[in-house]
Amino acid sequence: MNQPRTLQIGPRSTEEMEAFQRDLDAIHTAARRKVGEQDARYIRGILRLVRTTETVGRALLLFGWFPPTWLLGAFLLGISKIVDNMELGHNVMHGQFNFMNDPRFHGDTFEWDNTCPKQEWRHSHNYVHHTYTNVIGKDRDFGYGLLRLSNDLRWSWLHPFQLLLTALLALFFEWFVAIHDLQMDKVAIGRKKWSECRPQWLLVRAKIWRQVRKDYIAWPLVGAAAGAALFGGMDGAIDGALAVLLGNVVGNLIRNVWAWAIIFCGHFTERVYTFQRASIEGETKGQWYLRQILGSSNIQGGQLMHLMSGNLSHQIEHHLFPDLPANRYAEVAPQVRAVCDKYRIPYNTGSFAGQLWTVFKRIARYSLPGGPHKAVHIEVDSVLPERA
Amino acid sequence: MSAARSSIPAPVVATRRVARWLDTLGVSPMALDDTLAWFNPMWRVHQLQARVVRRVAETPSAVTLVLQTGPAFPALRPGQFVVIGVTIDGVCHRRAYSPRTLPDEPGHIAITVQRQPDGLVSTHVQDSLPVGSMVAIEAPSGEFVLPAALPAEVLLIAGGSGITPCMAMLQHLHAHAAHTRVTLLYFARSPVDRIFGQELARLARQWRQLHYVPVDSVANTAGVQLGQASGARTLDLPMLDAACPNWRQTVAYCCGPAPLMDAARALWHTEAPHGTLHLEAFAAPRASGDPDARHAVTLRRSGDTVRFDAAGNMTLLVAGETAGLSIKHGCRQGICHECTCRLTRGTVQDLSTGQRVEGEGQPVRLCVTSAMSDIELDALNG
Repeated sequence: MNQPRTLQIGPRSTEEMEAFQRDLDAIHTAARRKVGEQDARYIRGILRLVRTTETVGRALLLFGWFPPTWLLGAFLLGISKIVDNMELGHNVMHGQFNFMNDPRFHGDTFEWDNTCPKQEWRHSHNYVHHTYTNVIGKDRDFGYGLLRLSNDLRWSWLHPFQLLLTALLALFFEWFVAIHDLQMDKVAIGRKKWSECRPQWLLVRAKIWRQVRKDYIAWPLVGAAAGAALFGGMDGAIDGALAVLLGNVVGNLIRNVWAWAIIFCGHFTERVYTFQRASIEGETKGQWYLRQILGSSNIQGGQLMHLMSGNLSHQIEHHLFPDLPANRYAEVAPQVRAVCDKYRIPYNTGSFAGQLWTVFKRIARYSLPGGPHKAVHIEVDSVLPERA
Repeated sequence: MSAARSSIPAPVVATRRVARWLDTLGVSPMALDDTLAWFNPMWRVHQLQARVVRRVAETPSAVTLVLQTGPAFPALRPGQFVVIGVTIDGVCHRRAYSPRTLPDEPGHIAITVQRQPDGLVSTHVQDSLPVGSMVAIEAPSGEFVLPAALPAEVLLIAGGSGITPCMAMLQHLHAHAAHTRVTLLYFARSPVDRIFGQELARLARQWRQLHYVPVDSVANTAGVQLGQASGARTLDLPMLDAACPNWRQTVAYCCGPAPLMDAARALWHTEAPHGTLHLEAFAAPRASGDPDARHAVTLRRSGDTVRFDAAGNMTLLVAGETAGLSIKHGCRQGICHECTCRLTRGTVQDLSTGQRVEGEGQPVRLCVTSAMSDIELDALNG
């Protein structure tokens, strides 16, 4: 394994690091104190939006192949799934709205419109990814065990095809996420036994089957009934069922590709750093904060962008305060940015197209051997004699 | 239960069946519920709601709310409780109340809420829940009910707002079994604080079979020093013998503050070990352990582990919340089991029964349990 570069970013002394930590803690505490009615109203509104778009979208798909209704129906269904997974599901499953004590918004009981079981997600995402963000070999979300996005990973014959693989990952994103925590890559190279995966696989299989029944069996059957009623006969029924089936496929694809794009823009843009296991040993809260900032990138945009990205357009703020209700990120972002400026920490943000472009560049660059090192070891006290 | 089930109208039964089919097909029953609620919030079949239609002041500190319930709300057996949820500053708080049915108003129930000192929910209900507000409501439950074959004689012992389930039973007996001999011993701080005071006096005049014994006493009131001769009478043998001479053979119900219930429990234990006494607590029990002891609590919930310290005189739920955690909970009175966790190690006290529980995987309710040692818990419900 390559030696990480030792970099000196941000706070320059232990005292400065402690002050940095206190500044961020203060932002968190102040925002937390305001959480209440406003946040509850916000997330109830989001649930209403999910229900409305889903109902209208599915209803429109029942009108068969008529282009205006079919296109709008599939589009609305896609929007519904995006908001359900991202602004509602992802944030609720972080426990951001546990304070409401409402079972509909409790992180442990919420179930989303996705093939990934909630238990698997809470482990692989809330725990592994958020604790070990961008630590090579620990954070399994970094490249998903498939992509080489840093020179810390050995190059192999698979990697020249990784742009193609990325396209597959984007199209089938929910399926990859569903089996992500099974760690099939480890099974493939013989570091894990299939029998160890079985209990998890049963959970995943049940959730996948539930999603398949809903989107690809139940609703197409409703479509068949509507088709028979509207257009008459067997032909009408078949057309109706196929229109709903394809509408649901498209709705899921829209969600998959969009979720993929947002998530890749959050951690795989060009200037996002990675870390090595040894660098996080004995890490303080301040150093953890610093790693979260250096390992995340934001997307600039308006309210619509924030809503549709599930506020992952504020990936940095989300990684600093994962249990703060997401509707508060926009409010704390300027304060976080001011702290970054104060301690000379790069605050990685850009337009959606710009960030996505650098993601593609990064995937392309590391599909070939070599490439710049992205792993860094953050040096706090730069006055150590051997470094001086 | 069969009576309760048969009271559900056919459209609700059908909707629930559809919801079950949809659930099998992968469609969330909650989505169906939310969709029905667009048309009418009363049409929900899972997360039920009720509307406040009338407010009546009973005493300076107690108010009765008349609630309109939806078709999916099951029939109520007198003495049972319902859990009502109100949202305050975005947070849902649930409490149990003993409702009465209203003979002239089908589809309506009445709950009476006594203002508690520092009571968040009771204060909200009194001050900020106007007519027209919606509250969440759960199906009635509880075993503090009259037996199916009504006995010839019943003894009711109530203290303060513990009168509410007794009143429900009393009204039921008066309407449907007026030949039953009923004795009601009712402790209250003063005539002004006596909920349903006038109604009970009127009922006692009309209904010969009712023997009504109001007792003015502060003996059961929290924070009042005992020892004064007058105005501090508590439940004792002479009082019971005078009010209901054959109380040992009578089916008895007692609902009130902890001192009253403790007194009743002790009397039956020593004097009538074979008698029938039903008890119902109406407030969260207080932990009475050592306030200076600090027990380490480890709570695991699907991969996450949280740790906090619990003083011996705090419930585990309050201790966790004091440490800044939001722990999933419901009624905070040991009723709904939302906060139930498995105790895998250590010793706790179940404050609802007073029993010690040694951890070997038993379910414990955090809201009515205090730590007696360092403990480890595994969360249930997800």
